[in-house]
Amino acid sequence: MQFPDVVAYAVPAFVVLIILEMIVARRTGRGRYETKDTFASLSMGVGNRIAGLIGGGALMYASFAFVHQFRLIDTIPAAWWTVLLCFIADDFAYYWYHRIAHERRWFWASHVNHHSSQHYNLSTALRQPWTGKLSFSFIFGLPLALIGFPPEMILFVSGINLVYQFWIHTELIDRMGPFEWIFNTPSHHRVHHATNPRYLDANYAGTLIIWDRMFGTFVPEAREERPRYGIIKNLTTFNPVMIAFHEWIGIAKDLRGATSVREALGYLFGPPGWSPDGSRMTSAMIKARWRALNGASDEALEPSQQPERAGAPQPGE
Amino acid sequence: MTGNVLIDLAISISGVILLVGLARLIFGPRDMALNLARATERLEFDEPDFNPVHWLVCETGAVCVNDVGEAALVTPLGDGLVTRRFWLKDMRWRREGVRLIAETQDNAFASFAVSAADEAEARGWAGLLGGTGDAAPR
Repeated sequence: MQFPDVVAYAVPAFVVLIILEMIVARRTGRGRYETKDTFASLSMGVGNRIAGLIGGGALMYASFAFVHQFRLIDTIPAAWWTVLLCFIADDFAYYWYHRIAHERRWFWASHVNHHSSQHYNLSTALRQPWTGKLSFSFIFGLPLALIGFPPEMILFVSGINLVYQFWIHTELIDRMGPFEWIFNTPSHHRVHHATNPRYLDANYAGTLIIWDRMFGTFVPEAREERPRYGIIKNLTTFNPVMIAFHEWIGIAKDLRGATSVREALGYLFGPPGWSPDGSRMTSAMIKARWRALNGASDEALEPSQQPERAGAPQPGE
Repeated sequence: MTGNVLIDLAISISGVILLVGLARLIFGPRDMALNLARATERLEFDEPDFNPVHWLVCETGAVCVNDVGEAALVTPLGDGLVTRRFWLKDMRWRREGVRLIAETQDNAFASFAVSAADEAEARGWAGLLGGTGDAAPR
């Protein structure tokens, strides 16, 4: 079975949908585009493509192919049901990649690029990292190759997952009823891109939101608190090169000042914002500060205590 | 690179130019005009436990200090605002006329400038921020 490059096929649709979103956002006043921000986001998308072409894609494919030699199941056929299984397995792997990309600075250094816009529109979806594959973010997909899914099939389903995630980067679509119980939606993903303390480190899903519900990271979008987008320390530039490398530069500076191996490892693999003396803020510290200032109970932040985790619809859906 | 790759890139870059042009055409330039209300609102969101005692605000930047030796900086970026919070002891300030210029150790917020209304006010702020001025800020 031949597997097409779904992302390449989807690009014309991306362009058309961005133009449509611009027109609707302008007419309705919901959502907005800022010229320089749009330039930065789209340039990051082109740079991501170039990074894939000059080695990142080959490195990922070669890694999958290498691991596939040692596959546990030798007879996975290329059929619709195996593609579906592979898609679900890949989405599960994506959840863990994405969660760790927010929790560990090594992976965050690439993924932060995607969150660096203070806007949330379809162009933000294309604000993709340049260093993701070079920092081995694809290792989370290797178990699929080890199980026995062919590398071409894994790349195909991960492409579908990426294309799915494009349309959820919009403020034009409100809640989506029962669809929200199973699938990642614009509402869920707005929460993921928000820097409001109550929304930090939530909704890591690619396509299926069920993983967040299962692993306690689901947070619903609250009507009373509009998401504010960006990162904890927003950038002061629209320069794509700075966007792509600023966190790596920060890591390098920190490593230069590290006084022990433990400190160096903390800077590399600790949570973003980690520092030996606790002088910087991790997202856990920001949540704690928010709790202290607002008198919020733990339940306000613990997804496991929220009724929607069980799949119940929220008021207003 | 093969010809197909170059064509792929040429189409991508054309798409960027088209969409950025449309964004400009449809939404126009939207640079943020900084004022005290906007700076305060943004700082309250980013640093809710920072209690500013004094503010210096101009169109291109704002700085405030609290009473425990910290400064918060606010600067516009496009149609948004960006804030940072530093210990004053970790910053280097210099004054050029009415302009106060800071260098920080944050590579994503390496430099910052704010203008006072006049030299007397700038000297006051330089004293507060860097410990070398001769008057309290107004």
